Amino acid sequence: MGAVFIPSEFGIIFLPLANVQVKAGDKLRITCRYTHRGKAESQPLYAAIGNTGWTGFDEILNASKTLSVPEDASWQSREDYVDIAITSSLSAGVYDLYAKIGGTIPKVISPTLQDVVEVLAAIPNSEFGEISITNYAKV
Amino acid sequence: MAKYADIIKIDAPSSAIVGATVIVDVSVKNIGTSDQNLAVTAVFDSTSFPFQFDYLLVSPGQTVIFRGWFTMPSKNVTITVWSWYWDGSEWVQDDRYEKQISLSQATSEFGSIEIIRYERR
Repeated sequence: MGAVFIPSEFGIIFLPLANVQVKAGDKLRITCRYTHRGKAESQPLYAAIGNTGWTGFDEILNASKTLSVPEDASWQSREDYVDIAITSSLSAGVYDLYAKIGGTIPKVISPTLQDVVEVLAAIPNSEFGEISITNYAKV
Repeated sequence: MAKYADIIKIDAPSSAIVGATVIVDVSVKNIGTSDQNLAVTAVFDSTSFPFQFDYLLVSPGQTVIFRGWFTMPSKNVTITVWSWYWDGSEWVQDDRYEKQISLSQATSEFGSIEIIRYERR
């Protein structure tokens, strides 16, 4: 079960997050809310699955799409999503998520959601192990 | 309807960033049958701004351009332009024209981003 810590007037709130179960072949849709003001422009919306470590975020899978925002005279809140194709690069286990807007130098980065993606073990190929006669009767 | 100093058009940007010099070109045509001294005055909101020429002697049928300029404030503005002709003893206001110039943002910036949903598709 993932969680996020949110500062509030009462201190820090521990907000548990449900995790999502995926397997190879699925797509994970990550929906983001962002704010923008100023001139119209296009920037990549980027999201990644991986693990947070002491050296930073170790990305395993990612995807991006181009966001085109109109000119905003004041701060405007918008939503958009990016789909990450789940492949066998992810072994079974739990992973973290983060998103950002911008290229090599991000313009804004989301908080990391930890342990929110659970990758299920691959279901093995079909095989028959053994057979035995369990009954025999006149019909 | 103008008597002599007909404002044909105003060339000015529809938007500008704060602090930018906004150039306003006012095309005025002498629609009279004799030479006329023509002039232009203008304001953005209630603030007057200067023009390159105080007045010009214009032949019948001739169009001249008066160039004015001002510094864009931090808000949308309406510019109002008046044309004038000299009747031999005083300036007479003749034609009037308005144009909106909106404030545009100098840069684009993103303030925050957060993941609000994640779902298997």
